[in-house]
Amino acid sequence: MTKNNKKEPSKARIKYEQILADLRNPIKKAVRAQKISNKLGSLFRAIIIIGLSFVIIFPIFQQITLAFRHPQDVQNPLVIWIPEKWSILNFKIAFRLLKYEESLFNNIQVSLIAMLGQVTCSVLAGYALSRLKFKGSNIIFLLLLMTFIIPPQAVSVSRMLYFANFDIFGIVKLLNGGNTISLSGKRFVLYLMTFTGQGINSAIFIFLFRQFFRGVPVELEESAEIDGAGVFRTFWSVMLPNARGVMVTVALFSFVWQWNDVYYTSLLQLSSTDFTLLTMQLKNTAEWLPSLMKFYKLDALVDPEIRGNAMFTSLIANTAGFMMCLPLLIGYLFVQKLFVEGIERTGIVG
Amino acid sequence: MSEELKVNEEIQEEELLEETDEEQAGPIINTFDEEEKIDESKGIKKFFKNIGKKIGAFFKLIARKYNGSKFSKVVDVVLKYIGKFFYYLFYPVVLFKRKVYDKMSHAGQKVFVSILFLSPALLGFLIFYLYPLIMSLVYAFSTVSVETGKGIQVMFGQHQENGVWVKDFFYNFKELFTGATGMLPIKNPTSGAEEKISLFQALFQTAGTTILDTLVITIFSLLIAVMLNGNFKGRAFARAIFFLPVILNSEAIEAATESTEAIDSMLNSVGSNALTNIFDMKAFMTSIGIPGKLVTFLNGITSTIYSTISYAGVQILIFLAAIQSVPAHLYEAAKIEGATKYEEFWKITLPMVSPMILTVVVYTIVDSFLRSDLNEYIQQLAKNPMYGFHAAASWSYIIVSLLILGIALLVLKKVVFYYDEK
Repeated sequence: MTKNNKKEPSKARIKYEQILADLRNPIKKAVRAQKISNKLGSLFRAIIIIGLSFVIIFPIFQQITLAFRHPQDVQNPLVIWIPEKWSILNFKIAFRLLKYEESLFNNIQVSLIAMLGQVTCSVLAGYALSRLKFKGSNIIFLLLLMTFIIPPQAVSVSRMLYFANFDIFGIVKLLNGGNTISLSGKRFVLYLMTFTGQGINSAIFIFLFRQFFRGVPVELEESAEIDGAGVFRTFWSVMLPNARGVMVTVALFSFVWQWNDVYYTSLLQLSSTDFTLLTMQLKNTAEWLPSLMKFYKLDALVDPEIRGNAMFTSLIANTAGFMMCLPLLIGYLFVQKLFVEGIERTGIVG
Repeated sequence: MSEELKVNEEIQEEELLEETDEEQAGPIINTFDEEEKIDESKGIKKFFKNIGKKIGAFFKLIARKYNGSKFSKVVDVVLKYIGKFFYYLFYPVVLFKRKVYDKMSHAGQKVFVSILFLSPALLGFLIFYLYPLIMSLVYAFSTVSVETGKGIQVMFGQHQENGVWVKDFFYNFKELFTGATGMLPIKNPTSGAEEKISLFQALFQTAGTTILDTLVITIFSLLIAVMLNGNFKGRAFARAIFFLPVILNSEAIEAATESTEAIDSMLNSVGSNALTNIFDMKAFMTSIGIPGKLVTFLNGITSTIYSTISYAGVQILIFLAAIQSVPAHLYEAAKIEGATKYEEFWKITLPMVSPMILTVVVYTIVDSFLRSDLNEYIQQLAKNPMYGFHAAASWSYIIVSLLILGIALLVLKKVVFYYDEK
């Protein structure tokens, strides 16, 4: 046995030497290094992505558990995450305070029309700026970009005064017997603004469409022209169907931004007692909770001790905020693929 | 009324005629009946099929009765007149198309359509944007007040001192930068106490944070976009999560939670932290128990990490789209040459994505300037006799943001690489 061992190395020995050779082999070394670095890379990625996802999801999770917490638990130091007493009382109160059933439909109406306006205006302008160029169209593009770079929010007061005393170069005064008109409280004005490229971040949408149309091969257009299609025809039946992906993206973004908007709603004072919008109702709820509770006769639902508590205010504000986002969240579950893939299909390059 | 009666009579007449029609279509109906016999086992299906058939027959009946009836003639005439009405209503358009548009050259038509397509955006720009912008520039150099019944009163280049109007163009700016009006209450980031600092200082601070924010958000969003672009399990799910902040990021919610935060900080009790720090990870990270000096360092990052993510949503999307549009053959070639992922990023992804860095930087600068505390405090100047000050403050703020943008563009001009131009 021992002699054999000396002459012929054992299987273990062979294996060991093979491993040693493998370790010294430069090609295998490189392959191994790459494999390890790939694995480490994906581990790193997994850690970061899971960590950040947690950071994103945690507040939402916390908001949900808070919303289900009974108001009596508001100052209970034992309750941090999972409520001791589950209740939908917060939802009931927030529902009434937000005028949810009305404001929800109002919000949907405003956001949908604004979305339509944004898409229509920006697709037309984007196409004109990329494919129907003429002398000075670059200047127009720069001017439109200016609306983003110097955002209207920055000069909000002059805009507010202007809208309160509306007068286009003296024409309105002439027609209205020397008086200016106030645009506040008129939804029509918001719709007009979205249709004329002055909605929320319209310049970005125009930019997106311009980038997209620039990337569409010229041959497509030329062949349509050779086949006898006019300018309108080329736009409508060749270019527009191609831009479906960008249109979806722009539509979703404008819908969401309009939904969450505070600036335009307060500028035009769109939200009133007759026509409530979720964002303004939420703001009012957070600011005037005790008096609003009295106004809507909700006092009986909660003990007076808790009612005066600041934590109760923030509890209701959180629930109301969650309720405001809920339709968007539910919608996002369904269109999430469109949202992400839409922008990928935009194919924007420089 | 008489016409309707006549129509009714006709319907009765045609009902009689109908029977003969069915006989003509007999063989076809018979085949249908045979099919139905096979389907007999499925009762519900048959039931619905029958209903469908009946509805179909009803519409066929109406159509048959309508065609050629007197009523249809009346409708035709009415429609013709409506058509004519619209034709004449839009006659100028038609005339224009025939006389002018059709006679243009193709290039001319293109320019015309271009202007037509741009006209809504230009109109909105002129009416809703440019006019207020110019007016705010005027306001910045004047005293503005609003009196009921008189509208806006602008005294250009003047201000009131002890009831006397004094001429001084830069009064608003002087007062803001040196006087008491320009003292803005700003929260000290370290102690949390409110301090009064001059507008000049505030501008300087905001510019600093904006530059820092822009750097962090741009790099962060690029890295996240590269990570999300890779092929891994649950990619769709991860993407869905990362774009959630775009949807949930609302000023209204921020405002709602902020207004309650003020009350809570006064109470400063145990429970309040858990309630109001919903959008703040700081409390959570410290409660997990990360030891010693790491906490202070991590606190700096973790307290801003949520805001960084929530402000980077759009930027991640832009970068992701840009990375997706990088030609795949470049990566294939790099793989054959034996490039590592690290090299691929620096040699391919970054140069190809660099035009989009410009877009992202511009977007981030504007966005973070709008979100800054300074903007909020400037908005507080918007009280009735102070409109002039507000305009002056916002214009000095616009100029600073434009300066930062200009510097960023100059720096990036050297970095940006255009694939087409090569």
